[in-house]
Amino acid sequence: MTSLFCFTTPAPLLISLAIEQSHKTGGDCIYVDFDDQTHAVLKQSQLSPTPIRATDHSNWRQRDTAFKEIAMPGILDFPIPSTELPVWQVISLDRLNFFYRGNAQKEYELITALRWDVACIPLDIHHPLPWKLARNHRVVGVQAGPLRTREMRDMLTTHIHFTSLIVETAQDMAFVNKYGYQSRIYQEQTA
Amino acid sequence: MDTKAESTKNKLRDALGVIHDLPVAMIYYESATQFEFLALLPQIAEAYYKLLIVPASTIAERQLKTIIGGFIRNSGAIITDLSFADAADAILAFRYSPALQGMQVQILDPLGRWLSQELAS
Repeated sequence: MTSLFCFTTPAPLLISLAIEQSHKTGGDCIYVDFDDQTHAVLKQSQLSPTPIRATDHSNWRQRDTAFKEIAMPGILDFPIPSTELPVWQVISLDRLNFFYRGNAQKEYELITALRWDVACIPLDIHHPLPWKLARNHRVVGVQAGPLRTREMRDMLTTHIHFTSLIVETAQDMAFVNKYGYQSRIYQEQTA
Repeated sequence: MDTKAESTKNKLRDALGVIHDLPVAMIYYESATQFEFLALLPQIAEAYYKLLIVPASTIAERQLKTIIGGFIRNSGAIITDLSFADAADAILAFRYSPALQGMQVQILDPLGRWLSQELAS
């Protein structure tokens, strides 16, 4: 069974798990990263990740249009009175747009083109890719920072179907279990 | 406060260049709570002589320097971690954070926007 480790961030728990899984399966693992900084950290941990770099070549208009299709369907398709400036273009300057990554879909397509059975993803609130993968595939979520925050709670209560969650402490486990997830605390394997 | 704690507090204040007898607060700052931080900063700055601000991440630190760099130079200091907590008379945060576990923290989340009570329980 091939495991995919998707490093949107170099989370220590995910790195430990990747090394452990590599030992267990004789290297039947795929590691992918999305930025050079993470790539360097993984190399230091003796992992050989595949760099996924989906450069977005669209211009601002194409980017804003793509953002609108995802985040603002329909209702804002009218211009500000006495101008030709659509309302959605103004609204899309807000912070939601700031966090929008035009290349996330391309990254998703590249990853799903690979052959793997289960993906281990970080619970990374700052990157859309892990959550998109979790919605459509068999995925194990791995803690990648504080879990007991408002934004994580909001994400977890949208009932994403993780096969299981791997967390750091008993309190984190109690927290995720409260929202109906199956979880376990990571314990490093001793040789 | 016992003598040992008092002595630790004074030593830490010496290291930070802060006067012993004046009120000092430590603020744990996360980027997500920027609004609450800016809204309450005037009140907090009035109540304390010096603010030791601990950014939760490098991004939060950069953001702090951008939004209140001038204020920090005059009335505050950016501290890289929570180990100077004993130098402060109060530790303030704008939402519950697991990073502050085990510390006596005053959470300033009056409207419950960050669900601090729920998350801390």
